[in-house]
Amino acid sequence: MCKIYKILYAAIPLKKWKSALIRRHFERCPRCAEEFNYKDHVVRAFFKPEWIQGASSVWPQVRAQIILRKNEPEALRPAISPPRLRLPIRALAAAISAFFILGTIGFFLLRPHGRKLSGPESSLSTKPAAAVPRVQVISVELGGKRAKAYIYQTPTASFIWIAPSQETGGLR
Amino acid sequence: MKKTFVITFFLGVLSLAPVWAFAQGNYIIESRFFRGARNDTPSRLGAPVFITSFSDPLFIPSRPPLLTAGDEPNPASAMKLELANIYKLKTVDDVSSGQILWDGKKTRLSEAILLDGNLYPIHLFPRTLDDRTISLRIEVRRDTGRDEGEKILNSEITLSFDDPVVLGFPVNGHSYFLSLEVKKTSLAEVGQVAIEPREGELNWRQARAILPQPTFTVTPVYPEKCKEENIQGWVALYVYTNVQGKVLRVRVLGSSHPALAKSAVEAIRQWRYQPVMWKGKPIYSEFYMTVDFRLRDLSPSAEGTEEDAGKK
Amino acid sequence: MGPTDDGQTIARCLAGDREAFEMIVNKYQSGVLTLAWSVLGNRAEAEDAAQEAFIRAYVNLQNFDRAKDFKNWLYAIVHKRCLDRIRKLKTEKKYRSRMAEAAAPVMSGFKTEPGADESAVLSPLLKKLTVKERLAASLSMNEGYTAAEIAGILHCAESTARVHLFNAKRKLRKGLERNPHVQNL
Repeated sequence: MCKIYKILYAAIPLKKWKSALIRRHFERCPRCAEEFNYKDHVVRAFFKPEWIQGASSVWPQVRAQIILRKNEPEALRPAISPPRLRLPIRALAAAISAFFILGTIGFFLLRPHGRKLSGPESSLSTKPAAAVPRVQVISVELGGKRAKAYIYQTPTASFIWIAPSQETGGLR
Repeated sequence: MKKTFVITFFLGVLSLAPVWAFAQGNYIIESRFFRGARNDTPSRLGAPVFITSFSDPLFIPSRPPLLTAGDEPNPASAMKLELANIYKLKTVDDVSSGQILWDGKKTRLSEAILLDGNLYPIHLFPRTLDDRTISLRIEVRRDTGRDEGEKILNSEITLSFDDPVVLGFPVNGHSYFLSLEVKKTSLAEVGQVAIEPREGELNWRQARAILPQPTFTVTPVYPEKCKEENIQGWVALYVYTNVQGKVLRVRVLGSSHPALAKSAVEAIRQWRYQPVMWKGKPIYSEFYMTVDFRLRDLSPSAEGTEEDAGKK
Repeated sequence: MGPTDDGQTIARCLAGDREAFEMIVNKYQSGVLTLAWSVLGNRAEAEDAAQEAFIRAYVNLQNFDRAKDFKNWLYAIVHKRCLDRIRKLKTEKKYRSRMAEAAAPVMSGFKTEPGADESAVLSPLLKKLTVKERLAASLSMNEGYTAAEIAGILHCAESTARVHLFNAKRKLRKGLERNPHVQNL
């Protein structure tokens, strides 16, 4: 019989109904009650670790912070939020989800093609893909001194050889 | 009534999901380091095991690359071929590889390559410009034990997504090449976390931001069996050190082959680091590490380079 | 000490006697720490949350309805602080890579430094519960709270609180049956 209740408990989706089941059977049936208070003393030990017993008072730290914060004009949120306004929940939910859906559609339709750029990068990405350089060297230093960059591109990669300014081409 | 609200809210939120995926953005910055030489120098790279540390999360492929000699050319070997052709190099060797996960927001990504007993910190400063291009400042340094080390390279470039850029530069007679490719990925592909910060530790953010420097290293031994079967591969690790710089734990995130992983872990366990200082006190560190096992490089043969000598 | 004693202490605090709040802190510290720890599972975080909760309570003392029970009001603050902290930790965790096989929680097998306080960390048994379940179980076992009182802390319906508590007990029982050795932790 208890097994049927257990199966029922697993099958029921709503917490309210599960709660009713607990009150009607699991808390009343002596066998089930014993089962769920199994090794209660052992379980309790897990929830009360030793270090808490021996922990020193946190008052000094709390006191220090209270003094510190009192000197700061900090606006803290209330610890428990004030009573909420009574809003039409359904209407609000519908409005919010509509906003999200429209927002997503709008985002994909209207999203800008790149952010505002400045400097050397401004020539990038406003042009069609074909004209965008695959790589650009903004600056290069070798051993702390300005150096030269020699770019060689293949379909698979861009190779940049960096040589000291005095030299003429280095490896290439 | 509450349920109606919850359900309609949920639907509304779901409709926003594609926007989130785009807006948040996740990128993979594939970083490879090579060393090239014009001459066939006998002691090219010493030990065939390369170790790189990363301060930032790595993308761990579900099947890390396992290469045996005679494999189909992979992207790395194709790139090495191109480097050899373009710059007339006799040999091009792998030094490091890693795929760094970038959230699109973090301003600095760091890695540190151990090469020939020298530590080379590399810092990347990425910034998205638009949906096609990204600005990247690259700093390559050499650790001298003082400050941030000697600055070797400092360069700012802009590049396009899925289009690799290879920066080549000379250092002490060798040519080094840093290949960077930024790929877009989605959170779903990458998956949601789980390297949890340590219990009871409050400065985990600093512990992860700065890479500690190794003071004592042990090179992983190339397993005999793998040598015989010509197996080469890659191991990704997550390393925890304590405030004394001792390695507490090495966790394997992924590997091409379990024997390689075992060898890597056994070696890294013995490493010692200079602890990172934070507000005047040493703190623990956590970071990612990749160990590349390479039996022999996949350089082009001598004939190949001579053939192309006539080309541009 | 009963609610009237709290009322007198609170009156003194509001009148400007800051040191009177020490009595409140000492009286409720143990319960607050237990609650915070059962939610956050981490000693350092729990201590932080406890301190913050007391500070918030002090600063907002004038908003407390003295007809109500102070302990419940305080525990609700603690709960909120803990949830804020969890939310913050979640956003910080968001951008990390994961192995496909990373199903096993990091804590299993992770060795803390020798000499570290093992009890400062949630046992694997408690980790199987959700935050609300742990909270409900902790309040029930340590404070003897009924479902209605737990609902007041969790800001949910009484039926919901009852279900959380029941599920917690079920999971704990299953956990104990599967791992009898866990009792020795």
